Amino acid sequence: MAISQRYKVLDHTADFSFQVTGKDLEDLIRCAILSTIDIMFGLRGLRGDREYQFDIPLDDPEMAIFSALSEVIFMIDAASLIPYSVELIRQGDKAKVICICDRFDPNRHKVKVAFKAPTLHGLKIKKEGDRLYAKLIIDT
Amino acid sequence: MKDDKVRWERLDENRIIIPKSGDMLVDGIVFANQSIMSDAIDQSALKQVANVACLPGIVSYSLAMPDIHWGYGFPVGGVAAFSIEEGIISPGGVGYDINCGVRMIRSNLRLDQIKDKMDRIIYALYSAIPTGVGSHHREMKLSKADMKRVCENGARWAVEQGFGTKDDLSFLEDGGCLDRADFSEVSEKAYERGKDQIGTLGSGNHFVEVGYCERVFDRKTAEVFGLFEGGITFTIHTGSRGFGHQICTDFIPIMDKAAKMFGIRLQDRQLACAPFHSKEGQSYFSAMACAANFAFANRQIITDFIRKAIINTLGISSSDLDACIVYDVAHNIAKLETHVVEGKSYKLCVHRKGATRALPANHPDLPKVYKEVGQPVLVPGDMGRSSFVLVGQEKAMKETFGSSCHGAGRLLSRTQALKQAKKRDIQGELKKKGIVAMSAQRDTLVEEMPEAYKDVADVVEVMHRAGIATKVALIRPLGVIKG
Repeated sequence: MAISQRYKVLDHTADFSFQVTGKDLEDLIRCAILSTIDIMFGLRGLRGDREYQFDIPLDDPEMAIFSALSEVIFMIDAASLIPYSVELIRQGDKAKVICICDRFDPNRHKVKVAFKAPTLHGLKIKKEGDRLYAKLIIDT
Repeated sequence: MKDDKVRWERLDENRIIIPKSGDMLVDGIVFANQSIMSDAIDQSALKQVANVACLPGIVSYSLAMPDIHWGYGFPVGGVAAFSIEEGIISPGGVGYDINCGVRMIRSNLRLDQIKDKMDRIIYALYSAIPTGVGSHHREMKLSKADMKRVCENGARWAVEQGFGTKDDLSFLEDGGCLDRADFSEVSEKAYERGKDQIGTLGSGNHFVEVGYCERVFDRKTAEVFGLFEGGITFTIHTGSRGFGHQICTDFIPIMDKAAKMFGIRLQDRQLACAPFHSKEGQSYFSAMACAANFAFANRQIITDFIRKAIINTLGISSSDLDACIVYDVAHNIAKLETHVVEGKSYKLCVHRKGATRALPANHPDLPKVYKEVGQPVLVPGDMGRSSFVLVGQEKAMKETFGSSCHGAGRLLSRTQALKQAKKRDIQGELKKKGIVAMSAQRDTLVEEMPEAYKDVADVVEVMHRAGIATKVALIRPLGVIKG
């Protein structure tokens, strides 16, 4: 399923809210990262081979999503890297997140929405049937 | 307050009360007249007022100003004071953009001198001030040692680098420097995000606006503030950029763990907090002060860019322009302040998230020249209507821990704004009203269109009628640059 079909933008007065889905926690986090990029820049047309890795804790699922999105926003803002391919490797109660990134180029990349930080506000992972869902609110 | 429906009653013409219930330790008070309640306030924001009332050590009330809207953790427009012995400090009560604030600069210029030069002026400001997402200064990259100096000296650092004068510092809240800053509490990531963002505006609702004073309500006070009908003003709205965001992001998980460790029950995880005197509480307070000082320095540098851009564009001298700071207020901050509660004086940790300090006349923290009248309260509206300068009143000290509103407050989400403005030319519409607008992203102007906000005049009216901060002057926009 394409990433654009795995998230839904929700209405929020001051900031930005969307819901993501995944078959398990790792898939949900991967979807949250790629949805973030799709909303901010659009995934189509991203290219490049810069690799960026970071670790996230998995023992607290909501905090795992928060940590992953914090890292992604840091990558964009401080290192001008836009991840477009993401792999998660579980290592006990942690995961290694490996991102392949494009380098931000104002001539090629239009910022549709600027995400500045994830929040924990109302963040709760729910299981419905065989899928996980999370509603995210991002500071813009 | 897990129940979504919040019970409230009208207290008087300008206030409602959310009576203490469930885990609430104090009542909630929202400054809102009937029109604001029926038009703009949703249950989620009221629920957030009630959630804040459940936090340990809260004193008197959980408050919200009339520009209240749904935030995360605290509502935007929220004010809460906590005992420093039994109370907490919460990054969610400050917000991500630490010391996001407003600075107003008055000038000797008059409307008739610049009316027909607005295109040139706005272009000059847009060229001089980096705006938009990830805006940065290649030539102003801060070394770690310089970043430490910024964090520990705030606007004073900027003045020492030649951005403005020592006189400017008297007209900044806390002199443009919080004294509890400790750079050792700032992460490597925060440094990385902030090192080339000083002197930049950023994106979203941040702006530099050129306006003119259309109406004076309080002549004596306006005169003390240097404002006169027809006089040109410059308003800056920005904060601590990615630096502040990263500091808040870094401390949310720390405070989340601390809340669990100290047995603090949270109604919303974004209210993550720690006892003020705990190691975690003190670390956050020191790191937050670093971001606050970064923001003061940021607005100081932008002030210098504005002065130079106007002088060069109009070919006038610095004394012709006479661009003096009216005031600089922080509206996302936690500070130690002394307040009288039930006849006794206490040092409290006052959180203002989307609320402005509003000190009355004779307050010891005021600059000498404002002692007789009180502190300027700068309340920007949307880019098409108006902004206000208010002055703090004694009642603010009694009812709101010396706080007032901070802006218009959003009415429409960004998505709703984009939907409503489809096929409209917002820049063209503003131009027809005589307002020149430039932004780094086309969508910013749409998301920030006037209809996306409450009318700031309605918000200000509540504060004025409640006697918290009273109207001094109305400023009409002539031009704006946005991120």
